Amino acid sequence: MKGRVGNLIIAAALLLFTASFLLLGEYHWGYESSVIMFPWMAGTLVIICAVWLLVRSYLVSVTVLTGEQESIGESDDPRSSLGKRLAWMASVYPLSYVFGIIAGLLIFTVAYTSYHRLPWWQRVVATVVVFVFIYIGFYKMLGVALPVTPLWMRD
Amino acid sequence: MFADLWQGVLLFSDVSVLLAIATAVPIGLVFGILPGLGGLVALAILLPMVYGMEPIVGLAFLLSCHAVVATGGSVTSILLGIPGSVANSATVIDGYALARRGRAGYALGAALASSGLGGFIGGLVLIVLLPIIQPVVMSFGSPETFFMALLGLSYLSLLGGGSPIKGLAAGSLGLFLGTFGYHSISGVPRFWMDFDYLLDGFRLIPLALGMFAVPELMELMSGRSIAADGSKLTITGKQVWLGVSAALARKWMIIRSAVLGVFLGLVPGVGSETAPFVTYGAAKQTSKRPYLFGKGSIEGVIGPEAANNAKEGGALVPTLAFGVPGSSAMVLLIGGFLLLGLQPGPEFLKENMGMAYGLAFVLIIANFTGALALILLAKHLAKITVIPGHLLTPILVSLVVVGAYATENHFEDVLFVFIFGILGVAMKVYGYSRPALLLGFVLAPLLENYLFISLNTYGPMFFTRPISLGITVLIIIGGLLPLFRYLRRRKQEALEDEKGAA
Repeated sequence: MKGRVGNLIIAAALLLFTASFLLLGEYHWGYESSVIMFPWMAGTLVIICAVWLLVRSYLVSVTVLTGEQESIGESDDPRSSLGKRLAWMASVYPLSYVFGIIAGLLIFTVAYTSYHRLPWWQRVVATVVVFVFIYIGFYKMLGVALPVTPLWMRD
Repeated sequence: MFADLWQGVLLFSDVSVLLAIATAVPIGLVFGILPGLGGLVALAILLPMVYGMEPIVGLAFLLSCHAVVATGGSVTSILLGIPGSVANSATVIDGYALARRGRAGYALGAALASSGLGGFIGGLVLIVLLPIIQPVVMSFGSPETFFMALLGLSYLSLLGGGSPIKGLAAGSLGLFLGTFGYHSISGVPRFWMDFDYLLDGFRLIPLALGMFAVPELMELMSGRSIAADGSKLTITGKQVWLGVSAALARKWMIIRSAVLGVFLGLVPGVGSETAPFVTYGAAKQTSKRPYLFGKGSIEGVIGPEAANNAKEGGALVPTLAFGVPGSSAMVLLIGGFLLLGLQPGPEFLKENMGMAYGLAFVLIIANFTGALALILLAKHLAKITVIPGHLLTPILVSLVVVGAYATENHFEDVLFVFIFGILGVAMKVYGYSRPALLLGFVLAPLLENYLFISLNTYGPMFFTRPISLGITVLIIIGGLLPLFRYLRRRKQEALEDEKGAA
């Protein structure tokens, strides 16, 4: 979603998010005026900016809007398309939650480096580094109480 | 003053502080060498690790790491023409030109020596400025502090680069997100939607990691290694030392650039990115051979490199004195203060002047050791740039996940890293200022409290106090500047269109 449509969607989302919370706070949760005064001040500023951005998305040329955008790393490799990168990123939390942080991150490391066909020794290096950082560094040496047990073995 | 200074020396010379500096400096250098993973990402990833540390140790850890990012960044700027961090952008112009002429080591030696000396001068100026600024800070009440915080936010939002309205939208969204959770005055939880995690509001660390680490990781996942063509790095020790000598021979240029960098760094949200380019221009103006600039002038490397390390000394002044970050990275440093139970601002300087001096010493030593380490190890550390992105990704992802979890032992924190990560990616793609959002988030409770106190103490006309009025004028000027800039650009574009049509 480049250019005008993307900018419109972002501005609309900003408007919807802020306005919804302010209206819910005022009418559904019924906060006192002293409690909601500051959120109203900050929220009104967001709403003004969002409306301005909505109007601006129509008025300003696509060239200007595109010029403001930044890429997040173009890649010719279909294995590194934006969708696949998002999918990989989205897999980190469920893996860590289901298998425990250490096993989950090790599974992610092995799967990710294998999918991208890194040489075998690089896969080993990445896995060992992750294991050393997390298990030895954080869990054993620093004593961070990481949830290491998988979901089905937790209380 | 001397008692505070001595206390600063004592705090700084503690073994755990020195150990924190020794650990953080190599980390900062590596983050600087890896383009895209600059100071903001480094601080975002390291922020959870300071939780539970002694305040001075934690702050020394974060500050040392951040202080040397620009030093590390000069390596890739010169060798590959890719700025390691935004602050190194001006170094690319002449540094890369020198590298293409086979003088990479010479440029690198000069850049590293200038960085070290620039950082040293930045720390010294900070030590001189702190006692001068203290009486000024002490005359600030709640209304003035409120307006100072507002000034910092408006400057970072409006002048921090990119579209001003998008910057303002991001800053105000940050303010709004900062109002979630318990209201500090009445204790009423706001917008928590019966989700217990939100009773305390959104957390700083998941927000910082989501905003800065996730978008850069997404970029790294494209698979690019930094030296995509496997560029051969040819640096000899002799060349590096020649560069160091060239920098030392231009000591006045270093001092001038560093002092200019410090004063540019003082202006919240402005100096950080512009200081290297302003000093590049100043170096060209004062040079005996300005025609060499852009073609491989060593002075074009020395000027910006001295400034980009020195500006952090300047940026620390508003951060420590008013709690208003002098640069984007200082927003995260304020986050570090909050995690360690400290609130930078007038009260901080009043009660912890010794610690403020201690931080200035940390800045000096970190810059010095960072530059020295790179001078000795430059050609080996530069090999980091050939590590493929796909190899670094799982390692950094693991650090992000563990860092997010370890702070408060909440799995929800990890989830929110990725939720804010989506927001961070969208903001990066569509040109919204991420530092402005984080600054708004950090300043929201401060602004709300000071507004409450000001209204209750001075009434609705609290903004008419003289200093408040002065700061309000500065905010208005800050708001009007981008508008004038925009109108001038439109006028220029219209003129060019007319010329084209003719």
